[in-house]
Amino acid sequence: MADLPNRHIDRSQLLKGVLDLAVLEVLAVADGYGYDVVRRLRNHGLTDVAEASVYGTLRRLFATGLLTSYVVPSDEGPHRKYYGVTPLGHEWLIDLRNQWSEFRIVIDSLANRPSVQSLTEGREL
Amino acid sequence: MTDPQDQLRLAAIFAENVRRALRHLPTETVADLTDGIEADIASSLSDGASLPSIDEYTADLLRGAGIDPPKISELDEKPHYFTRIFSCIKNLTLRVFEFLSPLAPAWWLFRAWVVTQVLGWMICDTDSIRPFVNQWGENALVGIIVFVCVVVLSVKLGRQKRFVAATTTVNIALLIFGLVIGFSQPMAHNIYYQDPNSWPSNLTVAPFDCQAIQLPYVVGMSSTDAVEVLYAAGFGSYFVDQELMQRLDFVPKTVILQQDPTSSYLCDGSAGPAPVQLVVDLSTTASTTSSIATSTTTRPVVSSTTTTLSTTTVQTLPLATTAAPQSKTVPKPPTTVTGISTSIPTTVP
Repeated sequence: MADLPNRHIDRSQLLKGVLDLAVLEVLAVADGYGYDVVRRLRNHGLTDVAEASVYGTLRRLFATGLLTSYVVPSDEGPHRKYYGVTPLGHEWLIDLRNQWSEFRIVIDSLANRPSVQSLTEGREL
Repeated sequence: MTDPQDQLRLAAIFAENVRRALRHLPTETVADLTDGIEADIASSLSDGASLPSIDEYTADLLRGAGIDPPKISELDEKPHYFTRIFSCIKNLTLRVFEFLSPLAPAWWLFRAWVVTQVLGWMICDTDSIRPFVNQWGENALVGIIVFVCVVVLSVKLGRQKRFVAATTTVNIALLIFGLVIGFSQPMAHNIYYQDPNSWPSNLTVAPFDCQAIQLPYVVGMSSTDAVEVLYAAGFGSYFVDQELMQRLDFVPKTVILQQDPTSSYLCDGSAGPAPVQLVVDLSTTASTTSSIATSTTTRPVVSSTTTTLSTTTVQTLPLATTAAPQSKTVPKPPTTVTGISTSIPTTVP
């Protein structure tokens, strides 16, 4: 008999699909450097986000023109590379938000079907 | 880990390993992917995070950047045997740094001590760096003040985040130098030399010193052997050539080995108040015939030799006052010196 599938949702897999959106959302509020973005994502509850994934995402979004970058020298150590959202990035952000909303509505509609509700509430309709 | 300096050092090593792991990519891509990651990694460490594995980190980095992971063949053909060894060493170094980081304050004190000793050696013109001996001599108070100042500087240097490479280089140099001055000097019997290579070991010790004190038990020996015997007999803790006489103001129990007794260098009081214990004349060979005195060596292996000294080599050194005359020596159990059993006299002040 095959093993039962994992009972928990793989958040890392979910996050992989929406990391661009999450990073753009964070940077839309204020510019930040790599670890600053990681820290802000974690403060919002994405505690299992991998640092290097965020750094790679920042480089990719920068390479595609969605982010701008500038270097800020530090008195206490090596320079920091800050990122900000470009106008094109803001347009992408709006599109990504819409796509996420549509996706979430679909999933919510599946999850909130009456039969499912009845099972979770222990009642028969 | 709390020390920002260590965090930066670890971050730099880690970033270098990441770049090495990405060597299959074009140089520009690697530079773009890893630019500024030192600061990010250091920040992560300062938040209490531990370093991930290099493989995991690079995989996440590539995935985030939308770059396909390298094929096995790409990885296999790149790393050279020595490259892999180098990578292992770097990883090991990284772990060692991480493990030893709690000892950083002790290291700051140690390097301050090394710098203080080197400064004392240079400023006080000490004859030689000696292990675990204060190089400041009579200027010990100044040495303590200097040490405190250097400790402050060392701690400040340890806590700053810049100049990581330069600091690491200085640290390694100081560690090596500290080990050298701590362990590589001759330790036997606490005898130290200005320059062992130039030591006049080919000269033999004459039977009298400048004060006409007979030295029967070292006559005929090489000066190197004689030093051992003299030390065991209680003469001096510091044996130097006469050329260094003027530097001995702060050295107690000094024996000066004199090669040129006619020189005013030695006997004109240039040593000032130096408590010179004994001056040994190396200028006359043990077989010199003289009308003054005779003494028989007691070295059992070397044939007994009747030695005398020319009157011209017996001089007076006014400041050399602590050596006992021959008549006050008392026997002491035999002592083995460089493989030769020798009867050693003990001086009684």
